[in-house]
Amino acid sequence: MAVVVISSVDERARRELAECLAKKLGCESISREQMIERATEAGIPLGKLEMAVVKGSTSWERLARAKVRYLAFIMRAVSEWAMKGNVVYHGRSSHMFFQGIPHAFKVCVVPDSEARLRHTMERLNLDWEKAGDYLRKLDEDMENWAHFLHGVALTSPEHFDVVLNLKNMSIQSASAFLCSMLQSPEFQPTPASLAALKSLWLAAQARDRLMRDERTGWADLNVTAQGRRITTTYMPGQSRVAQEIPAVLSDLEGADDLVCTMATTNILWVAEMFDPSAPLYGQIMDVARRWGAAVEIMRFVAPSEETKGEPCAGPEITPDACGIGHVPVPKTLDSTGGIHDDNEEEGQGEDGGLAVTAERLIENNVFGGASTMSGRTDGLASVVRSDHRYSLVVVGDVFTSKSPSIRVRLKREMAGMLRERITVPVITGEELQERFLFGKRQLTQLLVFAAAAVVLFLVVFTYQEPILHFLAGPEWKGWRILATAGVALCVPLFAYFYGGASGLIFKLLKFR
Amino acid sequence: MGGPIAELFINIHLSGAIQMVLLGFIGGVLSGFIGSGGAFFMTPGMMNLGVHGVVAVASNVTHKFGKAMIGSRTHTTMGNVDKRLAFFMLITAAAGIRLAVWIMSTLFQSGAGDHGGASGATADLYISIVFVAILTVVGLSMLKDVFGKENGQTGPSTKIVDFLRGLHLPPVIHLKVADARVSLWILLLGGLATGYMAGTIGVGGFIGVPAMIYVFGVPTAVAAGTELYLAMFMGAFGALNYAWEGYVDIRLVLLLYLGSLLGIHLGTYGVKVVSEKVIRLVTAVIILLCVMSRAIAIPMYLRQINVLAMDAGWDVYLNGASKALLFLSGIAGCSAILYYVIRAYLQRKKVHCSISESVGPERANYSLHAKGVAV
Repeated sequence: MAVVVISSVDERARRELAECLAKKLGCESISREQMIERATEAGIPLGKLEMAVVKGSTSWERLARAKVRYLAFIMRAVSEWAMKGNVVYHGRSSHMFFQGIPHAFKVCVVPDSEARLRHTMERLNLDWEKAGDYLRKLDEDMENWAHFLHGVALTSPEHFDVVLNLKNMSIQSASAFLCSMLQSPEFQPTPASLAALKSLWLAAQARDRLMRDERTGWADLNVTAQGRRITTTYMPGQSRVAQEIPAVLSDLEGADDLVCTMATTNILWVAEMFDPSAPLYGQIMDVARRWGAAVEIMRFVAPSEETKGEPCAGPEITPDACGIGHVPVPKTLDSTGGIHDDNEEEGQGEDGGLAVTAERLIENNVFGGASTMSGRTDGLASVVRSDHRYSLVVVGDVFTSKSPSIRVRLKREMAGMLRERITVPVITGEELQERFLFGKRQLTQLLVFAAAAVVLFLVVFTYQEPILHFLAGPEWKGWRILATAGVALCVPLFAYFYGGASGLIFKLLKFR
Repeated sequence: MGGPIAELFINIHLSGAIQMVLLGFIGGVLSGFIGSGGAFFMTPGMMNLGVHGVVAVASNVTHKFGKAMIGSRTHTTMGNVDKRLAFFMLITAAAGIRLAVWIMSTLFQSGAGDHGGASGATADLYISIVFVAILTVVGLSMLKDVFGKENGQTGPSTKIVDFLRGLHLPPVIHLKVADARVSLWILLLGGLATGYMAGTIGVGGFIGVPAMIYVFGVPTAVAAGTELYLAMFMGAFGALNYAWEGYVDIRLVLLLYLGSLLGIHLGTYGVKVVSEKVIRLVTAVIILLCVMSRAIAIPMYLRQINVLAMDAGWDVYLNGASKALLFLSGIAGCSAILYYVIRAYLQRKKVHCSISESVGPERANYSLHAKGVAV
């Protein structure tokens, strides 16, 4: 069961390679252009959307719903094909649809620029210079399109398994090379990667159905799936949609559990080991309740020292009986990099507490989804970055096999790396209490801020007449610079102290 | 208080102080809810409480400076601030503020009419006219936006952006965070208008934010964040200018803070739980009621500068009606927002449903069971 996705800015190059490869594999080749046709037939204003992207960013915002509809439509279609068996899909940024599916082979094709130029000249009857200008503009528009759809640069190598330069390679050779690569154990489906694909497919089915149904199509929903469970979150201002979601998804194939959580935003909790009885769970719950946020949990399994540098022996799956997912540590670092989940058997296996934590979050009405990922930390950044739904990422217990001192350092480095690469605030579990919750330190801060604000207030009102004379009276006109500086200093100071104190009071009242 | 200070600043008694805190609170709630300052409510409110227009604007600008300083920090960490956009707008915004301060000082110092008018009536009239003109346009545009939007189009119109891009006015500045390209001349003009409005009525955001969205093509979140960032510098510049002229009443600033910094938390919470359409509708209605309130006071100022022949006894009624309408709009708006906040809090429950196979493998036999669900 091979799933190959080929991305390229050159339609001819990717089409020829995809068709050649599909012939060799004996499977179907599907193009972005076919998908566009189907999407347009389904009533998605794709032409408008593309024009808006070409014109400028404001129209993107205006057509945000059309974008979500298109993505839901295309994800459903491509994941459906991938579930059926061998398939080769080619498009501009098609690799982004299968991020997190390890056995989906993601190929970037760099076309021969001269051949591309010549072909454009012939096709459009343009001279060398005009054809060059045309292609430059086209590449720019495609870059904007990829940025608009997925928030990534079109040819960022980190999202591909292999990059092929066709300058010195024929289509035949390239497809033969891809065929041999496909035999590698890394691109063979495993129970974990198939389960991940199934979750992707289930979420895509649900998302597309919710977008198309008039009862739910108007709402801003976030849909994820894990195993046979679908999780949707909806905005508080759109709470009436919650009544409709179960009805819309009632006969969805492959789903037997639905969780709908009202959430203003999402908190992502990344850890190797989850423990609902640990203080961090309570703290995250506390923050989630205050923010009206859903908590998404992601188990991150780093490669162990023993596996580093070992020759590739293929992914070794250790099946367990956990409902949400356990992901094995890959044998080589390079073979990793996706969200995995495992078999669908119910039970309590060695899953790092993911399943039991998910159940507790569901009981507490804040569940936002669960997933597992193995590999290096930069792979984690790639997965988080491609999704901008989070307003906070909390790094919990990771690298648990290391000694405490190494664990602290690695955790700090991981949080630092995430901070550099994603726009969402990232904090460690230890920092959570200090930044977002109310403890002794916050109480001291509150008292200091309140006292400072009261003193400033009393000084101004006790000596109001001399102060006003100093600020505006003609007798102090020569001192106006000092008076102006006094206003410039006193006002922000009071705002800082009183604003800080009032913010802490709201924090104490769990209303912030 | 005595001397020239008594003519400029009001005596603050307990009831006046409470009303000022209440003004700040309502302004804060509206500010947090609308995201574009509450000065459109606080400035006329202060004038209704007897504060000279120029002192009301000066104190409001100073109050906004400290508030924006705290608010912009949050937006900066969220990546909603385009500092390049703010920089270019600030160049001319400073000139706009300076122009506004100069006009206000000149009008204030030109004094009152000789028919029993309060000093500064000319400045008060000028502020009121600008206030009514600008906020009528803003309020009606918002109402049009609420009722005239096509289905499926949730974002702002791009007609002006597309037209200006078609003009190709070099040099063009690339705004990286906002991901937009705008002519420098358009940016400078926008900055000037924003600065002038901020210096005149203390509500530069009502010009700045729509200009960024509809004229520059900046995404809404970045426009709000950048406006707040800009407001910090414009507020600082305006505060320094007004303080230099001696118009800032620091007592009023502190009283406004007492209410506004509490109200802003509630308003911000309201944004998260109320749909965008309702936010725009509530905002538009409050703005238009504030406009009506200020319009009612205009004949009073016209009489004071000897333009309108009217019995001076009417002043108390006009001011009273203006004040009542303003507080009514503010309290009603606040109540509506608090109602949504409380309702959303009570509704914050979840649906946990199970789609289980009840009869057989056929899809038609699947049924839906709710497990202790509260929708």
